Amino acid sequence: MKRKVISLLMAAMLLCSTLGGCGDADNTAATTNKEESQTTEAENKEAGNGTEDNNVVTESGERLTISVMGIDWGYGPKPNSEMEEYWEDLFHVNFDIEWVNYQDYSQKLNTLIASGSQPDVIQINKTNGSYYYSIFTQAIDAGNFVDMTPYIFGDEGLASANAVMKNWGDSIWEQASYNNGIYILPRCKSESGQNSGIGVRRDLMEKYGYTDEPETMEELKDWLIGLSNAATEGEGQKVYALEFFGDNFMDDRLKAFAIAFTGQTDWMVDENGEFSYIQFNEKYIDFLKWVKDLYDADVLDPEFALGNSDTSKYRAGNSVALLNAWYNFNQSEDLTSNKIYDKNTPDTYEAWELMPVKGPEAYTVSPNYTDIDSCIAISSNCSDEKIRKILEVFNGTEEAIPGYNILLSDGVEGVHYKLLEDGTRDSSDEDMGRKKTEGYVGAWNQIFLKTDADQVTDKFMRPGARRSSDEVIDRALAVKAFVYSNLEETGMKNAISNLQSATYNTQWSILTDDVNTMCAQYIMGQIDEAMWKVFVDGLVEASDYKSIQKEFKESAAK
Amino acid sequence: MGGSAGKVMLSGDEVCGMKKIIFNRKFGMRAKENLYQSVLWGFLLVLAFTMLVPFFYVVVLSFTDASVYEAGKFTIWPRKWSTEAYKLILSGSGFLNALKSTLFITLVGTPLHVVCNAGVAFMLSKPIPGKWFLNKYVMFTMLFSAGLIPSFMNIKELRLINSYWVMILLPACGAWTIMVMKSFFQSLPGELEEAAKIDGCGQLRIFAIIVIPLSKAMLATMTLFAFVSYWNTYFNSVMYMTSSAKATLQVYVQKIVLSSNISEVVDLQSDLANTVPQEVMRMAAVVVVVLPILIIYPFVLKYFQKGMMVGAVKG
Repeated sequence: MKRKVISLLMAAMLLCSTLGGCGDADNTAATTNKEESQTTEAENKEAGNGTEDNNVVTESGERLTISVMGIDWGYGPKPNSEMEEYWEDLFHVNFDIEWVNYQDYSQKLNTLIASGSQPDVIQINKTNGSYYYSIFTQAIDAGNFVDMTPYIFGDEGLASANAVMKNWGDSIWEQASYNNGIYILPRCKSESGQNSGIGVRRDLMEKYGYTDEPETMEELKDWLIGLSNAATEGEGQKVYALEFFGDNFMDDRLKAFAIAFTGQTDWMVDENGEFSYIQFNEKYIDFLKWVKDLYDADVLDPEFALGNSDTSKYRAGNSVALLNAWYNFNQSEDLTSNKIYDKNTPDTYEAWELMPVKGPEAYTVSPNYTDIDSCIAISSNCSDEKIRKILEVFNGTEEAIPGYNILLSDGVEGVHYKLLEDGTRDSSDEDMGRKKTEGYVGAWNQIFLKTDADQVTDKFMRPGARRSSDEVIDRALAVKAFVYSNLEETGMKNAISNLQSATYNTQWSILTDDVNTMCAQYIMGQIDEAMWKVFVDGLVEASDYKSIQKEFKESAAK
Repeated sequence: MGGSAGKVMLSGDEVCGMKKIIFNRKFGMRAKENLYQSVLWGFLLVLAFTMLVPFFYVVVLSFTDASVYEAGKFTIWPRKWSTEAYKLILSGSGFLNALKSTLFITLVGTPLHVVCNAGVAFMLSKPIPGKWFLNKYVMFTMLFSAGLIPSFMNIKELRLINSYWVMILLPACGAWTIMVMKSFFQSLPGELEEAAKIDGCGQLRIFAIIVIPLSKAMLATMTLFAFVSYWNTYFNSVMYMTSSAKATLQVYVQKIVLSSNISEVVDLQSDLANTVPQEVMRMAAVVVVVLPILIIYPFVLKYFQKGMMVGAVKG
C-alpha cells in the first residue's frame, strides 16, 4: 500500500513537472500577443498569403511584432522591462527581443544565420575588426539580408531625411558597403582615432619636474625613463614608465606607437595595389627597439605580457603612463564615472593626456578599424512594409521625437531618474537604479540610432552630470582636434576594410600565431634582430600570405 | 651447559644480547615503519595542500575588497574583506529566476537521465535481436555528433526552442553512460536472474526488484554525474533559450561576471558597470555555483566510492 502511494506521488510529481516544463514563464500580456501574432503568421503562411512575412499586423490590427537580437554586454537585461515597454508604446510596436551575452553572441548569431532562423533585426558584432565577416557575407550572398541602399538613397531616403544620417559623409556609407550594397545600418559615427591616447599622471609630472611634455618618440622615451626613475625613488615604490595590457602588439592601445615608426596602420596598399601588413613592415623593428629600450632601462614591467586591466599598475599608482582611448582619462570629478580611476583611487592621483607624439614616420595617431560604432542588419524575411516600419522605429532622432536623446541615455523620468532642480538627472534611488539596470537603459543605443559620438561633451561636460575642469576639457579638445586633423591630412586607414579574402578568414590567425610571442621575445632579449628578420621573411614568403595579398587585391579591384 | 638435559642455558650476557637483538628488531621495525608513515603522511599532506590551496584562494579572493585587489596587494589573505561580489550576484533580479530554472531542469533531468540510460543499458546487456547493430549505433553517437546547425534546426522543428525541455531532453541519453551502465549490468551474476525467472518474474520486474537494488552504487555515481551536468547547463541555455527569464544559473552568473568587465569592452553608459574586479566576481561565481555540489557530495560519497569501479572492466 505504502509503495503504491509513493509510486502515485512520484507519478504525480512527474506529471506536474512535465506540465510545468511545457509552460511559459513569461506569461505576460506581451508574450500572449506575440504568441497570437505567431499563430496568425503560421495561419497566414498555411493559407499561402503571398509574402513570407505576414506578421505585420496582429489580430488586434494594431501593432507589429519585430523580433530583435542584440548584444548583452554583461548585464542580463530583463525581458519586458519598463524601458522596453516604453519603447513599444512610443513606437506602437511589440519587440520580441533577445539580448545574448557578447561572448556567445557570434556563435548564436552564426547558428541562426546558417539555419535561416535569424530574427527580423540583428545587431552585428565585429569579427577581426570588420562587420562584414565571412558567415555574414555568405548569408548576404545567399539573399538572407536586405540591401538597404534604396531606403537610404532613394527619394526621401534616410541619408537625406534623417537628422543624424544626413550629417554623415560618403566615408561612413563606404564603410557600410559590401558588393555595392549596404547591408548594415550604422547606429552612429564614432570618434575618430580613438586609440591615440597617452594618459599620464600629472601629479607625478609636477612633483618631479617633468612638466615639459615630450614631442617626439625619442623625447617620450627619455621622458618616461626619467620620470619613472624619479618617481620610483621619490615614492618609495616601483613606478613603471608605461602600461599596456597583455602581449598583443596589435592591440588598439599599442598600435599608435607602431604607426609612428612604420607610417602605416594594420594593412596598407601601395601605388601598385599590393597589400602589406604592419608587423611585416621592415620599420616595425624600430618600434620594437623603442619598447625594448624601456625594458632594458628596467622601467617596463618585466611581466608586461601577463598584464590585465583588473590589476592595472596605472590604476594602482605603479605606472607613469597608460595607453588608452584619448577621451578616457580623468573625465569627471566624481572619480567613479570614468574608465581608469574609480572610487578606490586616492584623491591625490591626477590624470592628464599627452598630445600625440611625432615618430620617424607618423604621429601616434591610430585610425579606427571602422568609424561605425555599432550597426544592425535586417532579415530579408521581412516584407517591404515591415522593413519601412523597422527603419522608422530604429532610426529615431531628437528632431523627430523630442526627448529621444535623454530617453536613450537616462531612461524615463520618474521611472529611471529624478530630475533635480539644477537639471541633474539623479538615479541614485535604489529602485530607480534597479529599473535602469533591468531596462538596460544606456545600452539601447546599440540598436537604436543615436547622435554621433561627442566624447568630450559626453565624458567631460555632459548636461546633468558633473563637469570636469576647464583645463582638462581644453586638453581633451586639443587632442581631439589634433587627431582629426592628422587623420584628415594623412588619409591613413586600414586598407582591407570590407575587402574579402577566404584565405585571410581561415588562415590569418594561424599564420600570425607566433608574431606577438616573437615581439615579446625580442623586447625581452631572447631573440635578436637577425632572428626577427628571418622569422618575418618566412611569413612574408609563406604561400598563405601571398594568397591573402592576391585575394585582397582582387577584392579591391571589384 | 650444565643443569637439566634438553634445556639450553644462556649466560646473563647472552640473554642481554638476545634481548637487545629482539628489541632492535622490534623497535627498529617500528622506527622504520614510523619513518615510512611520516613520509607518507607528509606526502599526502602536501598533496592535500596543493588541492586545497586553489579552492582556499578562490574563496578568499571572492571576499576580497576591490581596492585591495586592484592595488595588487592581495596575496593569500586579504587586508580588507568585502561581500560586494556576492551581493551583486545574489541581489540581481534574475538570480531567483535562474535558480528556479536550474533547479527545475536538474530535479527533473537527473532522474530522467538515470532512468532512460539504465533502461537502454539493461536492454543492451541482454541477448536481444539486433544487439550488435544497436551497440554500434549507440557507439557511433559517442564518436560523431550531428553538429550544431542540424541540431538547432532539429530542435526548432520540434518546437522546443525556449522550452525547458530542450535543456532536459538533450542530455537525457548519453552513449558513455549507457556503455558504462551496460558493462555493470553484464557483470551481475546471471544466476540471480535465472532464479527470478523461475519464480515467474518478467524482465521489467527483474530490472526493478533485482537489478536496480544491486546497482545502487553505480546508479548513485551516475546520478551525481547527471546532477552536476544538469546543474552546469550553460551552452544549451544560451543556444536554445530566447527568454532570459528562463536562462540557467550558469548563464546568469556568466553575465554578472562579464558585467564587471563591461567598461573595458564597450563604451556604454558607465553606470551599468560594476566596480568589483572581474577576477573577484569570477571567484564569487565559482563559489555560488559549486556550493550545492559540495553540499550534496557527502551524501552520495559512500556510493560514489563503490561506484568508482563501475565500468573499470569493459566487455
